[in-house]
Amino acid sequence: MPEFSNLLRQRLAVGERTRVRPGNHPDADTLTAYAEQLLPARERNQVLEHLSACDDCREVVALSLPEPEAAIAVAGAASAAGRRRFAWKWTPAFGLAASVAVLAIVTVAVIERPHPAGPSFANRDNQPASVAPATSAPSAPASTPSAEGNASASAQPENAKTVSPGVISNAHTSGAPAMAAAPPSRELARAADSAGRPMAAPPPATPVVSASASTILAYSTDRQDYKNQMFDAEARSVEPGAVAVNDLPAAPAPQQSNQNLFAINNSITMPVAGLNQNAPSPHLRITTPSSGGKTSGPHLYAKVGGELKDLILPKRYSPPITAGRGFLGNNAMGGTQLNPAKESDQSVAIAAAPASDKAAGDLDQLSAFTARAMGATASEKKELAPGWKVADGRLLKSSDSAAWAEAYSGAEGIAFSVVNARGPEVWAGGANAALVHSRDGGATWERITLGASATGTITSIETGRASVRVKSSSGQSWSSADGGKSWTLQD
Amino acid sequence: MSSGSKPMEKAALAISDLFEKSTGHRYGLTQADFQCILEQVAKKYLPTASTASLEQRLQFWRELKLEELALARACAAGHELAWQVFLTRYREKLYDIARGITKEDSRARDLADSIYGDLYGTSERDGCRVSRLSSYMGRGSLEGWLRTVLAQEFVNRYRKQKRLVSLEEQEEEGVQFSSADPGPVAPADSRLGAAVDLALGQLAAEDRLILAAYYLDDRTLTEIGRLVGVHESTICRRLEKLLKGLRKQVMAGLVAQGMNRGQAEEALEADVRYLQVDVSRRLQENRSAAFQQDKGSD
Repeated sequence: MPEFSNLLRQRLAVGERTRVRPGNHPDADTLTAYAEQLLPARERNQVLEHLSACDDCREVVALSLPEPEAAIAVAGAASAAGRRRFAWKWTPAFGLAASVAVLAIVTVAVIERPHPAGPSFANRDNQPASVAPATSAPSAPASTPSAEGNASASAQPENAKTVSPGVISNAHTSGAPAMAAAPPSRELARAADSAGRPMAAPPPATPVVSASASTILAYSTDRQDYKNQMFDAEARSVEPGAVAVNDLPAAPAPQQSNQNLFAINNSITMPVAGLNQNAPSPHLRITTPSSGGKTSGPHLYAKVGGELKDLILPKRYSPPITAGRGFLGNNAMGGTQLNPAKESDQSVAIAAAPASDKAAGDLDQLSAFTARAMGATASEKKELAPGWKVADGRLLKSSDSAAWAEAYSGAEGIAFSVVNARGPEVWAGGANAALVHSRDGGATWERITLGASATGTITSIETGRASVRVKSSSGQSWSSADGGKSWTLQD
Repeated sequence: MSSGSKPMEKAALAISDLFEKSTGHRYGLTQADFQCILEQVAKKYLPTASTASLEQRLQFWRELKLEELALARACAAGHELAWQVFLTRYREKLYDIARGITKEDSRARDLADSIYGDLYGTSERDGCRVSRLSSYMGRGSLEGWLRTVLAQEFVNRYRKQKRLVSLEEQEEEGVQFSSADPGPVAPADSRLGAAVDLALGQLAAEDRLILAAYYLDDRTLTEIGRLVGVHESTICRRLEKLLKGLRKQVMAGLVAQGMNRGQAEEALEADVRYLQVDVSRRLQENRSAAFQQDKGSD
């Protein structure tokens, strides 16, 4: 009956133009309680009466209702659709086939399952670790084959294929008595071997009840490819600057530095893969020279083709850039921090190579990345990255830190204040929010426009993988997520 | 004395229990403050607050959102910790709610920021800071109350902006202005209006709300369902049933007023442009007299 519906619609619309707006609207509390269906029946009816006559209150209630959970509706629809689509799966024949398949898989898994070798933290009898070791070890052969297995594992790490916490963990948790128990276990295992009994196949792990971290530490010390327990002993045993084992050159003393996060300090030799200290030629040595300085951190050198290669430090690493000495500050993404008050006389070297005119203390972050600091031999030829700096408003570039040439010769006459160079990507900013960008190490430049409202002198440029953030002396912060194609002024 | 003191003790214990549940002490409220708040709420919403029994009042208070009430009133009183909790819980929600209402970020921020001032209490009365949170009574959730307050503010703003219409802008947009009203046209049959009035008057309030929302507000069945608290399919069925029932009643009314069936059918199918039955006004006039009392408005 479209006519009648139209009749109602027309009449209601006509009536709205001339209707008397009802007063005494329900307050927010009442409308909220109505929307949340918390009103008693009588009061709800009153609200309904009002709402049927007041379009404003209807609008308020409609707006104040939270959006329905679309996800629930989607999930419900999806599950319903899924049930309809895959209804054929719920037939008896399919069920039988599925059961047979599952049974087959389980059977295969059970047959092929290796003996459990991983650690667990409960012993066979669910006794705490502190109870087990002192008495169980001597009687291992008779009653605890797992202890025997663990003893063999700890005694002969080279042959053990699996790892188990072993008696050592008990030793760590329960103190001296357990320590005393450990050697007898090993001897017992050796005796067992000498008696001709075949070495146990990967022994089952000894379930050890231990909540302490030392269990985990013991677990790791049993691994043959990494013996952390040797760290302290060997680190202390190696004299700084001593001739390296296996004719690797000793690392030279580092540059005088403070707070150098990247300089190197202690000697650490870490045996690798069953390496014996007295073995003729380890291929890998982690060594650092010690200068008695305050810095720390290892380097990893590998002898590759007769050459010493530093594996930790990438060749083309660009150090973070600071204007002052020492502290990196918030310079994680690179960029020279300019003190706006000292714009005119800022002259900051931004380079992997240190500037010769800088004080020794200023070379903190830069010295570690020079050939000297890395202990490179004379035979090594490392290609140094070009250096960039801003001086007297000019953008300068140098390949050897000795001769600096003007890198940007645009006609605009930009008074540069900051430069950020990361490989061939170079950003430089200056007065009047001027910003230039080069993708080829300065061969060609592109002038960047931040926005019509950009003001001030660029004071910092931070770069990420594809993001760039630029700050100016007027307090503005502009960012780009597409490598500088478009910019947004941040709040 | 002893017979009178027992209910007093019971009341004190019950209020103490309510205060404990509200954790008002965390926000800087005292039990005495909280009791005042509860009495204020009861006075406002219980129809016979002065004569309501203690049990009725306790039952009413137990159904309130006590913790949120304590938080809101502590904020209104200016307790710092309460404000920290409020901001932590509702700051982002307020912007989200505003965004849901305005469907636009800048307007949402503008709306939310304007409410913040009212909630914090930037205005003063008689030397005391006036916070809108002092009008929260705990009947619904605080979040729902914030939604309603934002919606009211939005509707008020929109209503004000609607009145301020630039004729020049409308001309530029090509809006056709209506010609002068030629004057009322005599209805084809005044009995039709009366029959419609009668039929609408006999509907339940909820049915009239559904009709108003459907025909006056052009709301979808889903929106009406949320408005009423039922599923949209229920609204669909109810609308169909309502229209059938209304038609039947209007027909019966026309017949009762002297028309025969054929004439009644013809009247219903008449050109509606000639009918001036003010259905919406009639819908309003049927509201309950109970809402004539001053319940306060925001």
